[in-house]
Amino acid sequence: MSAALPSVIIAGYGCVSPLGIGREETVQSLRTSRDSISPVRLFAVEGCQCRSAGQVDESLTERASAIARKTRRWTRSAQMVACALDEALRTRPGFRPDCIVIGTTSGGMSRGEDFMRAMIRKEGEVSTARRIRDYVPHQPILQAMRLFGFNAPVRVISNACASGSNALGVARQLIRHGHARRVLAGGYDSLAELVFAGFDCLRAATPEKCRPFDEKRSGLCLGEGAAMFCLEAEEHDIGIRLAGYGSAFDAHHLTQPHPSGRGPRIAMERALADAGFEASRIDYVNAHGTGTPLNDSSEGRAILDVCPQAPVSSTKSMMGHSLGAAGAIEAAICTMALEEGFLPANINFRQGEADLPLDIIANEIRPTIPRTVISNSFGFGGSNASIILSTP
Amino acid sequence: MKAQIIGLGWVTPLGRDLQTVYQSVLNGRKPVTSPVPESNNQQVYRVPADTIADALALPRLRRSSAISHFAVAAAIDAVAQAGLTEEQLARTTLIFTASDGGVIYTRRFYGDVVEHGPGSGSPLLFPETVYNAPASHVAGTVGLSGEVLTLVGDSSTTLSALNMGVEALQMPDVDFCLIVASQEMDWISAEAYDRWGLINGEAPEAACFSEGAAAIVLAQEGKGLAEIGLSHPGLSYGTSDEVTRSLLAIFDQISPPPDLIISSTSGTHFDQTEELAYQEAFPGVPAISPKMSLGDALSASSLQHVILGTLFIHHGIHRRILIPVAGFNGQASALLLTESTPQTDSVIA
Repeated sequence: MSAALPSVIIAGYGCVSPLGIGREETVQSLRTSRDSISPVRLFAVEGCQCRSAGQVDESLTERASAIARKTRRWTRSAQMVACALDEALRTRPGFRPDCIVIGTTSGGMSRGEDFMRAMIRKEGEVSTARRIRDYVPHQPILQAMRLFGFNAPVRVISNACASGSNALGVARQLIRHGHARRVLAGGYDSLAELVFAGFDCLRAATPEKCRPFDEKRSGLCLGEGAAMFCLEAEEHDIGIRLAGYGSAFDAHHLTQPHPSGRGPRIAMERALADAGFEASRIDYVNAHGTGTPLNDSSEGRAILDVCPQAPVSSTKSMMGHSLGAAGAIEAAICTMALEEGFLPANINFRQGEADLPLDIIANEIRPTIPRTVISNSFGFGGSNASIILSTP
Repeated sequence: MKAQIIGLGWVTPLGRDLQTVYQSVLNGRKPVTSPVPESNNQQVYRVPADTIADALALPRLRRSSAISHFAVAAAIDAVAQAGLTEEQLARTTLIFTASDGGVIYTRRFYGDVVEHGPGSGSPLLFPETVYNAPASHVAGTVGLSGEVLTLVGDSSTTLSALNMGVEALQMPDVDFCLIVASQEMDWISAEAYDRWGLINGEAPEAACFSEGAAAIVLAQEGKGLAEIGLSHPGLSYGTSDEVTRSLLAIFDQISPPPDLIISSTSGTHFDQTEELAYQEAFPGVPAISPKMSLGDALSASSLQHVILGTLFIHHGIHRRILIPVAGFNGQASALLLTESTPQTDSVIA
C-alpha cells in the first residue's frame, strides 16, 4: 500500500531564527557553532531568574519592510513569518499551496499583552480593535498569506513545543493521502513577556548557559523565530524528503515527561515505521534537548532505546527554544545539514551523564554527509512528535 | 469522504443533557443572563456549576481552568454514548479546538506579572494557560494514547477540525476521531470581543457571549446518528465580500439543497456576509440561529450546532442540514449533515 503513496519533498524553505534571517546567515552560524543567546532587550526581566534569550536580529523590521512596507505595523511573529515565507517562495517560485498547516504557541502574544496590560491598569481606551485582532494566534499567518495572495485553508496547530513538528507531520499526511498536492507548513513564535515569565516561574529557564545533555545542565533559554516549507507530492525519488512522522501522547503530567522516555520513544518509533526505515539508518538526531534536567534524561533514554548509534545534538544550545516554531526551525536546520554535509553542534557541552552514553556532537560541527536524520519535538501537555528527513 | 457521528456531548448554559437542551432550543428557551465577574456589568450566559460536578471532582482537573472542565465533561459524554472500548480508544485521534484558550488563567498570570513584576507569576497558573492543556486533560481522562492535536482559530476552526477528523479516519491506525471544542468566560475576553464587535452587548436582538463545550465522536463505518455528507477544509478571506464568495464556492458543491440551515449568525455586523451567501445559494431554505438560545461560545458554538443538526436528523425532523460558519477572523467554511447511510457492518454496540 505504501508504495502507491507519493513522497513528500521539500521544494523550498525559509528560516528566521536568532542564528540568522535566511538560510545563508543560518548556515554560517551553524558552521561556526555561534552562541546567539543574549540579554533580553524586548521587555523588562528584573526579578526573573533567567535574563537572556535567543532573539532575532534587530534588523527584522527593516528586512520585513523590504518585502512590504505595511509589515512595519505587524507583530514580530508576523514579520518573521513574512521573511521566512518570502525566502521559501523565492526558493520555490510559483508555489501556491492547497492547504496551509502552521504550528505556534502564542502567535501575536505581544499585542495581547498590550491589551491585557492596558485593561488591568484601567487604561482600556488606548486599546483598539486592531490590537485585539492581532493577538489571536493565527493572525501572523493570515497576514502573511494575504501578503502573498493565498486563500488556502489554514490549520493552526498549537501543541505547545511540539507544534512545528506536528504541523509538518500533518502536512505530510495531507499529501500522502491525496488531500493536497502542495502544502505550506511551518511554525512561528516570538519572544513574549508572559511566556518568558512563565518558564521562569517554573524554574525551567536557566540563569546560566544552556547546556543540553550536560550532566550539570540547569535549564533552557527561550528563543524565537519562524520557518516555512513548501512541501509537494513527488512520484520520483528526488530532493530532500519529509520521509516520516510519528506522534504520541503521554498523560504522565502537564509539564513533565515520563522519566522512562516512553512518549518520545513511541513518537520516534512511529516516525520510523511511517518512513519504513530501520533505526540503524538514522545518521543524526536533532534532539528536542531543551537543557532541562527532566527533558534531556527522558529524551536521552528514548534515543538510546531507539537509535543508540546516532550522533545527537540540540541546536537549542545555540539559539534557544522557540516553542511552537522550534520543530519547523530545527527541520530547516536538518535540511541545511543534509544539503551542506555537516552535523550541527551541541554547544556549551562539558560532560554527559554516565548513564546516558549518547554520542553528543560536542561544541563543534562534525563534517560528514548524513542521509537520514530525525528531529524531535516534545511539549507541555504530553505532546511528542518526531519527523524524519532524508535524501534519496 | 464521509464519516458517521456516533457520539455526542455538550455543556451549555441550558444544561448538559442532550435531550433536555435540544428541547429547550426547540422551544426557544433562553438561559438567564448574569454579569461577568469583575466586568462593567456585561451580561453573558454562564454554565451552571452543578452541570459539570463530575468533571470538577476529577483529581487531574483540580488545578485546571473552566475550559478544561467543560471540555472533559463533554468528551466523557460523547465517548460514553459512542460506547468506545479501551481497545477502540487506543485507535482514536483527538482534535481539540479553541478560539482563545485558557484566558482566565492567562489574565490572572499576566496580571501578577504586570502588577508585581516579571518574576512574580504563579507556577500553578502558567501550565494551564497553554492552548493544548484542555486537550491533554481530555486525552488523559478518557484514556487516549494516539495523536492529540489542538487547533486554534476563529469559530470556523471547528469545521476545519471536523474535516481533519474525517481525513484522519483514513489513516491505517485510526478508527475513531474525538472532536472537542471549548470556551471559557473572563471579563477580559468579554471586553475584547465587545470592542471588536464580535458580540453585541447593546443590541437586544444579538446573541450573548457564552461559555461551554461540545464533543463528537466520528467513526468511518457503521450506522451513526447522522453522517457528515460534506466536510470542507474552509477558505481564507481578507474582506467581508470574500466571505460571501468563499461560502458560495463551498455551497456550489452541495446538491440537492439542504432542508435546513443552522446559521452561525449572532446579531452582529458579521452576519450579513453569511446570510447573503445562503440566501443566494439556497433561497427559501429555512435558517435558524441557535446562538440566540445558547449564546456565542465561538468555536464551541460551531460544534454545538453540529450536535443540534445531528439530533434533528436522528429524530427524523430534517434530512439534510447545512452548517455554515463565517469565522470572525479569516476563514469561512461549511458542513453538510445527512441521514446515516452505512456502507459496512455496524461498529456501534
